[in-house]
Amino acid sequence: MQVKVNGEIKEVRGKKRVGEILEELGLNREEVLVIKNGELLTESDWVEENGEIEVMRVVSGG
Amino acid sequence: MKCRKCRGKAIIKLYEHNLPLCKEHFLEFVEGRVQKAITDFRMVKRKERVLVVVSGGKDSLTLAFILKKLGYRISLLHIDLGIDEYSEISRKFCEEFANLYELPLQVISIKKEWGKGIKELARETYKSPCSLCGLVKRYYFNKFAYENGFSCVATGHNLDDMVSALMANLLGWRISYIAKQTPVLPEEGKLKRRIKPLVYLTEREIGAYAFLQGIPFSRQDCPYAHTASFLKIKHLLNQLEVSSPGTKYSFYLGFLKNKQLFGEGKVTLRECALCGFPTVTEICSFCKTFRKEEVRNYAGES
Repeated sequence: MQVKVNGEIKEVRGKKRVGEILEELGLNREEVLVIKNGELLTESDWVEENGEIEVMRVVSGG
Repeated sequence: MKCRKCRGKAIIKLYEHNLPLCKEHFLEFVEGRVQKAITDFRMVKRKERVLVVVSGGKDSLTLAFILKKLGYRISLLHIDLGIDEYSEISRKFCEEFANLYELPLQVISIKKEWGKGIKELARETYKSPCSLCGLVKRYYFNKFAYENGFSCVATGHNLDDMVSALMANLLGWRISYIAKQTPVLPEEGKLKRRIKPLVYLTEREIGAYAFLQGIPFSRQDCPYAHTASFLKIKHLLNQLEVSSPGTKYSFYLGFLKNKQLFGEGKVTLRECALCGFPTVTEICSFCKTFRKEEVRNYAGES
């Protein structure tokens, strides 16, 4: 599957739950939102092997 | 995962409340938290005029959106810091938002006022861009609110901002700063009341709300954000939050319950000899930074 993080595309293998994807990419669930086809996903949602999702960072530093 | 309220499909789980919610009930939850903060801390009355300071980012624009939805009388102020493309984009988002939701917006441009942006001014004044940014924003939004008859200034500080500032100041034992991490800073003379209606909400909750409501906001980071120590502290607190949900919320509520231990953070304010706005010294930090010639002349005369 393709995961877009900060404008960069990362490849994640296999069908996985969102929580597992975040862990694999070293991302903190408190700091991101996961979006697929314009909808929010929870950590327990599955993403197919050929799926595409976006991870949006929500932490601002200013 | 099912919504706790209606058993529909949950689109988010609020771990600190152990609460999965569908879209409808999540939006309701967020708006409810803003109203609760306003009520709990007696932030503002409905008839009062609120100046919402907007940066173009998700927090301040979401704040403006929700306050309008809740029926408060708001106007927007954006301070264009003149940080090249970053500021151009931030300003565009504020203008787009104001047009979309038919809200009055005033823009103060630092480049217009001083002929240069924050980066150049920081170099000339030997201050860091971040501390100069804070000084400038606080000065201008207070001055604008005072001169235009607003009852208070609302900023988009959220729970993550409050706990990271609290932690940063605790680590350095800056007692007077710790005491000021309250949801309301009361009016004093020409210093207008400052309110933070998003204090019960995390950045994740605000981001999700903005996304679901289709609020257009800037996703860019300030080019100087990497220098801000608060970001590292936010990250540490979020790591704690994952292993122990509710840590941030408990930490902040605990502070509010025990804030008397840190005094009131009160200082004696006087009017700046040059600009007349509140300060603890004879000349305020803003005038000392930007009006050096006048300060020298004043010192010469006195």
